[in-house]
Amino acid sequence: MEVKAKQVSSEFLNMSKEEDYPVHSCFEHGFNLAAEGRLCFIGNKHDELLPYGILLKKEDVKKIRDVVSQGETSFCMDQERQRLVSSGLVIDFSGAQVFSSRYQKDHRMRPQMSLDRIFGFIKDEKTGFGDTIGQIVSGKCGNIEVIRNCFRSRDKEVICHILKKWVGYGPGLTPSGDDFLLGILFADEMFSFLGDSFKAELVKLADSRYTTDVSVNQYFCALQHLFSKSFLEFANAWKERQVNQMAESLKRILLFGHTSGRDIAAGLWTGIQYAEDKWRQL
Amino acid sequence: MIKTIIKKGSYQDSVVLMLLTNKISAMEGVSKVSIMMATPANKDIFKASGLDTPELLAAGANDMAIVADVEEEALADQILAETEEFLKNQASKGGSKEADSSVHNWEQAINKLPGANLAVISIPGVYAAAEADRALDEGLNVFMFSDNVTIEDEMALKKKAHEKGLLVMGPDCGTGIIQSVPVAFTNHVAPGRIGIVGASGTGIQELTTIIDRLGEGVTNAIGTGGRDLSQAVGGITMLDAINAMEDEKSTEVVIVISKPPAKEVRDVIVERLRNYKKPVVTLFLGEKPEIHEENFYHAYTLDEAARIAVKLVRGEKVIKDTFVPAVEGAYKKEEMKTIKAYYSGGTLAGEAAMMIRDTLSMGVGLGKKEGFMLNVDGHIVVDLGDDVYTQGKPHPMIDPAKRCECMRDAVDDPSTAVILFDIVLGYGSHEDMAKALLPCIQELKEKAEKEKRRVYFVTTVCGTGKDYQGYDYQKKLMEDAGVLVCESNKQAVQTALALIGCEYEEAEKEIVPLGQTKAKEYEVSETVKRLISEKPSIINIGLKSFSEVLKKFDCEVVQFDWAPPAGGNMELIKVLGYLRSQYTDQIAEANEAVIAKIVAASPVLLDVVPAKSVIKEFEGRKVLLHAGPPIRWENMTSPMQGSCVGAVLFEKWASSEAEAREMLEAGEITFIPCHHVNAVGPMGGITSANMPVFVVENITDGNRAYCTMNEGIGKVLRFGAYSQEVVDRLNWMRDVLGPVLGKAIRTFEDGISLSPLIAKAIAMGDEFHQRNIAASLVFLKELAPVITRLEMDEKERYDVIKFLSDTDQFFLNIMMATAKAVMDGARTIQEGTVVTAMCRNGENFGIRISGMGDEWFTAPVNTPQGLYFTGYDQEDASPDMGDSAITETFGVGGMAMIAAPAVTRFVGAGGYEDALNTSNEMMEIVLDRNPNFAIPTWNFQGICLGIDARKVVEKGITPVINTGIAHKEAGVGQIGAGTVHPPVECFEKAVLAYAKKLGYE
Repeated sequence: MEVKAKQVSSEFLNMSKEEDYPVHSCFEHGFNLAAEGRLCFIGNKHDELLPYGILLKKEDVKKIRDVVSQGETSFCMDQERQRLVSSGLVIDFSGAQVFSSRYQKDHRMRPQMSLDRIFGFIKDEKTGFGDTIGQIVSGKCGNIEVIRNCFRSRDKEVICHILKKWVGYGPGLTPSGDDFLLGILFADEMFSFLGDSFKAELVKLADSRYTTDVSVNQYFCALQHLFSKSFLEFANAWKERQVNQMAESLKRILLFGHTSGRDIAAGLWTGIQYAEDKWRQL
Repeated sequence: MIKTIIKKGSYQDSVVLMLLTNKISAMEGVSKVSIMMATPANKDIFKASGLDTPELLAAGANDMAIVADVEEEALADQILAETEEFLKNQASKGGSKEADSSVHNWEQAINKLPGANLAVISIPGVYAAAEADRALDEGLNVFMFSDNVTIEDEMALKKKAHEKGLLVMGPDCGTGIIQSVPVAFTNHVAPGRIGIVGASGTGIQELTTIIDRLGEGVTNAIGTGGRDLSQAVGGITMLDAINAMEDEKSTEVVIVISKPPAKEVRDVIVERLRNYKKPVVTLFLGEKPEIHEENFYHAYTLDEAARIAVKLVRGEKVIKDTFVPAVEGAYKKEEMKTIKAYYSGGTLAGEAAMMIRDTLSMGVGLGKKEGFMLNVDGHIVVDLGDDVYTQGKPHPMIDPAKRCECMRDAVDDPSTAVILFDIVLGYGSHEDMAKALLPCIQELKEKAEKEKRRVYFVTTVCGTGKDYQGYDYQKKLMEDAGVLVCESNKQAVQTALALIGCEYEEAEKEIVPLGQTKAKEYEVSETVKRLISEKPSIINIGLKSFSEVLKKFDCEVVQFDWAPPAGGNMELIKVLGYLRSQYTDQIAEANEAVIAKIVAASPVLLDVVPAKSVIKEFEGRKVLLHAGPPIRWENMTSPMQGSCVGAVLFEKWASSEAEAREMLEAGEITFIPCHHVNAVGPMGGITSANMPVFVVENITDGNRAYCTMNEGIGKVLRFGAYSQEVVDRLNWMRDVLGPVLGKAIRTFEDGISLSPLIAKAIAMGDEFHQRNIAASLVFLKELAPVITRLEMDEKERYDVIKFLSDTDQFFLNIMMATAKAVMDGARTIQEGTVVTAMCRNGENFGIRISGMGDEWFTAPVNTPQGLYFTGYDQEDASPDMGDSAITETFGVGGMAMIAAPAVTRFVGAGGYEDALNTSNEMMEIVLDRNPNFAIPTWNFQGICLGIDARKVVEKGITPVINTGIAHKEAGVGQIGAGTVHPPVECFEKAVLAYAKKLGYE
């Protein structure tokens, strides 16, 4: 069977070599390929473009589900013909549109905007922590203040201790704590408020496989400035000050996983709020 | 005992983990289970719950940990087997037949169930309002299980529903019964003569189940959503439902219940009910009425409301409840013992709190505080279904764990005398909650006994004998364990109070004459009447489990596997909603008129003449026409610029490439889109004054369209070549081919009628974009006899006929002019959303729609995907260009992929099945079929007719265009063929602009 990809990540194209890559995990909407230390999602979930990902047509995802299995299937990369080949399935991305997941930093971005106007409509959404997004952002949940204090701290021991309560915490394949921190990392991409120590300790925990592979992959992509399309569109809309478009991007983020989208949104709002607070102090 | 199962390296997405948790929780013998990835942080959570085991601690972050508290060793294997089965089913879900019978959009849903009168919506809250709005536009009543809908949206929906004579039940409506069909989380209740309208989910469950067990029944129980009686919403749904119940034949008595309503709304409801033609019982939770009125009874508890209704239906006298708790060994009041109540149903918790507060004369208000309904002097009433307690865990109606934990804490408190709880049966609840709670209750009873304390367990089972969990079975299990099982929550609370030495008294209420009010007429729409008088016909949008229950009750139901429309873009969803709700008929009428013109068109090939003789824009200046929407020289692709150079040389405006480029860069040439002068051009589309063009007239509308002739293959102007060979060929076409064809065509008195020719060729396997060979041959067949008899040079005659027979794609350009003539005739109607042009210039894709006239809606082009000739690949491809997408606009080309199975492989589209799927998919975005052009391989169905921009936006399906792929460098020529889709942004912009034209803000 041969399927043609709709879109392929430039990061995937640049990274992949002529090697065998095993299927790491399978889901309803596609599968993860383990390649060069990264997980490359091949499939289609709400047409989202993911770092290192390959977007297939929805009807093709249904077709390949029976052919691909975790631990048993592996793909050989054919660089010349731009295909992934396994017995029974060829994924041809030679004609696919190429996209990049890299966030282009714009130092002119400012966090000054009415955050209630942008995020208000999601404040009652319940996160995987049990609290609503609004409750988390408003600091009504005790842990939030503690982690906020770590953002620019230099005390690595304390940061590590606190991060251990968040990394890998909660239900889901990407536990809620990891999704929340992903939101923080993206907010930091936009407004640069995290100190080096915080990121360094996060890298250490990710490196030591303190959480699931899928979360670790998420962290490393984020630290490489790679994010899915909905994030990039959110940032772009922020730059253009298009509130409606920000809302649309947020709504797409909310669709991630079971509670993942809401956990991420909580982190994003918390991070931007923090950046705004710091900005006001200047 | 605690059992651990570790699934190493098992990656399941969060929804699957949650569903698996629910499934294992429901297994017999499992009292507690937690399923999470075994990350260090989660191990702490397991530890806190007492579920840390050596196997768990040894597991890694990528291992799925299932830790269960089970009765028997053997259960571990059973859990493992269930888990494997469940995960296997998840993996094969996509291919199942059942999945295929689902629909994926509103059109499919309505087509499958045209008589549907109810939409049940359980999708993420941010989208629920838009889908509910759509359902109302389709004339459906709405049951909104979804929560997180804003109050503003709720108000708008309910006002709209009321104006349209429809009902919106919800949002956050968990329970409903319509003509005995349970909707969402409901009990299986006998049908009967009592109707209920309620702003309370478990309140409805308690009422219906008591009524059933008392031997009567409920045919309709309409949930209104918890905010319906707020000041903002004004009780819209409640009033409409009350009005409908008044006329409903099977209903003799109506119960109206609510949590505390806004005063003004309450007064309106009460005023209405004073004029009610049937006996009615009200219950506004928290109020303690002291009287009844004639035919208008006021209850304090759910139990009272149910009993009164039953008495009324039986024509019996309404008297106070005579229930006396049978309690032996009760504590004395002075011993100051306490009640700890842990509920899964919010209304039941509220009722318990109210009764305890009132009986013990506590001076506190009702309402939740930090998760407690009541927390005074050691008495606790908790709603465990509250958000505070459901920390990513299953609801207490399906998971006993939290309740057991609370009960353990309660027994540790020496003041506790009574532990009060509910067991809610029905669809959506735990399979066997009594059994699930049993071990904990037994353990705690034993503990209390050892400590020589009397701790009573009191419960009520909210269910019926028809509920699949079995009411009698659940009751017996509890009774055998020494739990006091009461017939209702009120009786359970009354029993609990008696056990701590406090007497709950229900006062006899006097029945006074009904207060006089003005009589009024109340209208009920036929649709709402029909809703509650017949079994509903349902489109279920969201949770599949709801469909499964509905099918069990022989309800007509379509499962709509929902994904956000318009790619989840809320602005566009609103725009589509605006057009649909305000202008559906107007747009439908306009679109019908447009496609009627397409069908009625009569294109005729009249002549071949120099372009300058029919396009006046060439007069007196240097003009080049180009393909696509307007573009500047500097933004043109290399092939298009190459074509310009070739045209300049052909027109002798310059004698060398350098000179030509200098002229072009200096802006000495005016560029006009072909489309703006009634023309179309293939690939670069460059057309100059002296190039011969086909003249096609649409006789029906009297308009004409023009297109240059096909130059053949190889190095040709349209792909950007401009060598002497190219110019020489253009000269030949100007001097020989054009005039000869013109002369030949003019011998046909009325021109060559093109529709029959197209109909013939489509039946011979042409799709008219990538494959025109049949049409080209038919055209040659028409002209060859005439050409042979023309007075002309023999060599030239031979060259012309040879050229026509060698150029398989010759008819493409005639087809383009034909499609242009037809679409331009149709777009004289300047309303509607029919796409009237699609074209590309290598930079942008542009479309026009009927309602926006000449305005272009553009977005960056995509690059075609397909098969490449040897030695070329995607890297070499030019971005998409050409006016040839006018063929798809008309309904052929990629829109008729199935007509040309022969080309499907060539354009990389796969085999016959793929071509069929593509063509069927294209039908999703068009209005109808054109009966003039039947496709044999499509079961002789007509080609697609009228691409509707709204459908493209809503469904995210863009037209497919078959196209040649040019090399990105000028002059190399065609390097492949494939398909390309327009960017959906073009259609989004067009729809938005049209909505604004119609007043959208």
